[in-house]
Amino acid sequence: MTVTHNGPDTEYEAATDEARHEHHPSDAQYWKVGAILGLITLAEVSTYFIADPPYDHPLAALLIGGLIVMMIAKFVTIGAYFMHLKYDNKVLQWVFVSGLVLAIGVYVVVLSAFTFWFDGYESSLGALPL
Amino acid sequence: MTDTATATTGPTPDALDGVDLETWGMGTNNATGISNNKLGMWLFLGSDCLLFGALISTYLLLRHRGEGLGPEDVFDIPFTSVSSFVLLMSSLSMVFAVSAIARGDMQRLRLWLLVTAMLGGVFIAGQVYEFTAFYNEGLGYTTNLFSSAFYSLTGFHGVHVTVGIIMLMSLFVMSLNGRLSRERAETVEIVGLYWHFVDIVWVLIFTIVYLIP
Repeated sequence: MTVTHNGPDTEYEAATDEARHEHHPSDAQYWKVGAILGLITLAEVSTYFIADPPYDHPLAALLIGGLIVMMIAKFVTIGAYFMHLKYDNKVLQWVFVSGLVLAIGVYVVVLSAFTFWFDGYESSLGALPL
Repeated sequence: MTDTATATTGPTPDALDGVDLETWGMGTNNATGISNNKLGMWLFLGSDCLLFGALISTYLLLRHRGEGLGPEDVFDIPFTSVSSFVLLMSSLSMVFAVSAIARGDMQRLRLWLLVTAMLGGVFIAGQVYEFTAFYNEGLGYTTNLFSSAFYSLTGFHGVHVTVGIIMLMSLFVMSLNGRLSRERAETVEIVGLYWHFVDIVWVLIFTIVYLIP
């Protein structure tokens, strides 16, 4: 099937441009998002100075939980704003999220198969050579 | 030719009048109304999640295996934090590059593309320095299971960043040759998607590998 473009359609162009600009954050908003991401990174790195390694600290669960929450927050923020998932067609969200969910699901199963979540999981890996 | 076949997601350059858009891959997936190129990149990124999922889970399983040096012996968190921040800022500059071409500002586009590539280069230089330092401390690729898993994971990520830098420089050269225009902003956007994905993966690696040993 041949698809041809028969010349510019001024009205269509103008409407599309307007729609495109409506759905894109301004540069100022990008700076704000960048600043937020920087602050979250600062908070993440500060845990190193609080406890290294974090699991030795009395508040280990809080520190590690906080790190995971911050990691997810940065992931979602970059995906939503920088990758424009928030403003794009929902199909693109589904395409990316389904790959992500599949990856997480498969590897949670793999880690579970090796009893990763329990103490002494190394024994389930068997006598692997060094 | 049908009416639906002429639908596109945006203005098409006059130079493409009468050209078979499907052959050029610039057509729209009429079932979804999305550009084929963009959909293709998202599909690739979705599949790349599986690659990094495999590498990260393998690292998690093997990081405390074997004798010799472990993560607590070699990692320099402050140094890697700076690297992480540099890569994060490169994502910001990439977004400005996409914004610039959407406005038709080619000068700013070139500036931000260069800034992004430079920041990516600084990140790679940091990785090379880190790997060299680890090697000098006795942690080679085959030293133990931890080292193999670590170098495989971060090495693959580094290769992704390097490929991204090559794409950015290609865009820069294309803009100098007049092959990029406001109407082809999607090309820059698609490279931007790849770059942001690379940054997102590093967000995961930095937290899981470095901060939560």
